[in-house]
Amino acid sequence: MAGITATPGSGISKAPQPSSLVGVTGSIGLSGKVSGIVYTAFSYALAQKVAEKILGGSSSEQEVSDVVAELTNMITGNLKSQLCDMGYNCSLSIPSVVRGDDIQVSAKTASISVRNEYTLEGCPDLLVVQVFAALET
Amino acid sequence: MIHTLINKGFAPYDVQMFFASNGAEGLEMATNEKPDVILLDVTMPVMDGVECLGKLKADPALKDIPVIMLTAEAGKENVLKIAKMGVRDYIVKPFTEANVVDRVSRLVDLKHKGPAATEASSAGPGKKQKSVTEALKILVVDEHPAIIESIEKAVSKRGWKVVGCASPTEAAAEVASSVPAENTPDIILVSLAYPNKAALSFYATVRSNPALSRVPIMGLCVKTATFEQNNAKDTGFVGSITKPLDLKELPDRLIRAMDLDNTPLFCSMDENALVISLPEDLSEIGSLDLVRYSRARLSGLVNSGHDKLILDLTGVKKFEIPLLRAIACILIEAKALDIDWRIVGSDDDIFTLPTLIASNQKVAAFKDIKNPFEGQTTLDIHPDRAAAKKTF
Repeated sequence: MAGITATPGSGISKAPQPSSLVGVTGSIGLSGKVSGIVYTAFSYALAQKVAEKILGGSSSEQEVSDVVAELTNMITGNLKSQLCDMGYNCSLSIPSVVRGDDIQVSAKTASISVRNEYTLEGCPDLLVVQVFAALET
Repeated sequence: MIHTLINKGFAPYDVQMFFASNGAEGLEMATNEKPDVILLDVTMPVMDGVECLGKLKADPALKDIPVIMLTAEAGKENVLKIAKMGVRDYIVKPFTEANVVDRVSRLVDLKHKGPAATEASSAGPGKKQKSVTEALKILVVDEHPAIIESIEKAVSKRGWKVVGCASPTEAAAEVASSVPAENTPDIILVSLAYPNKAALSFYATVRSNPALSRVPIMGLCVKTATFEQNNAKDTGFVGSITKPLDLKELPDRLIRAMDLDNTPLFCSMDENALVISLPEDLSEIGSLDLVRYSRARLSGLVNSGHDKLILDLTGVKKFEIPLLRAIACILIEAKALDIDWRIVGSDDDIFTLPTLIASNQKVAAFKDIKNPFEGQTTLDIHPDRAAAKKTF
């Protein structure tokens, strides 16, 4: 959709809590056999660039937030599909978006805390995806 | 974002768009506007897409409107769940504008706006609407000779001519020399992989020539080149054909891009009976367009005072979904017009057509299509047209 290739880094399998996220950050909750929350953090410049690529022109702050929300939905939807196919059925919340220079995120009951930083073709900034989750016992 | 993308995708077409931000708003809008197609996102506030779909299907006034679901989840469970609720199709995000337009065009006729429309009445004095049975000319601009050869091979049995150019510069000279109108290409395919957006510049060159203003132009690219496809669509390309090429479907995709009626490939008159000869290898797109255009053919038959149809399936040994759907839709339309029909065929499996269609009724392609052989487990098959005609 944006026409930008994202390459994952090596990832952090036990990301510290709390973690810091910067920029325009989308989040979606998971509930069911997997419960948790997925964050996708775009720097302000990256969020603007991606929104302009997708919408085809300069974008307002609201439009940028809308694009980040939708991209968070797609990323989390993909994750959910794979979880469900593995037997971990869950449902997703509606995405929400926050902005900040140091957004501190944590999840008290999460036994899983993973983070990955994606390099994006033609962009100096990274896309950060952070997931806190717990499996139903 | 989704509203913006979809609005852009349909901008070249003569359609009226209505947008709602949640399922409740969407239901109200559907009730008031009675759209021809509903594109329904799953993830929405107030009322999500699944709940909205349930309410649409429960409303007698709305249940028959075809719904295409937009979802971020491609998992098996999710797909099965929404398929069971009666959607006609679903699109997994991320999608391109071309994807959405293609899926909608399978359900409704989409006409281009303005001069790109190929209506015969707007063709101007002295310019005849082309037919699929003519020696159509395809200009292919691709840096790979193998692609040009593949396309030549795919269309050769239609008697169409392919002119290949290795670069947009060469192609620009070719189109300039092809004017006047009888030599101009009927459709142009151009690789989107040329550097410096050369394909888009070539598009502008073609469009600057009034004699070529109505020639449809399609992009050629790999499936993952979504950025290039989007740019091409925004520029005015009618669509893209992705590589590797589906050579079986390619001729039908070109026919659709040229907005041509494909029934001349299949239909003929035998005295006072319309004969529709269906091939075994009918593609998905060919089947959809045949069903669409054959309605006009059958109406025309009755209007001209005839009421006999022969469906010729000689040589067909394998009944795949596109062919079965075409058979079902044509016979249902014939029944609705009180046209007397016969089937001609030679293979043993043809006798099981009623069972074949009945057993595929749950397949998405047959959703909302009745079985023309309802209640029948066998039917009369005639060995040839002469034998069929004797029984009228």
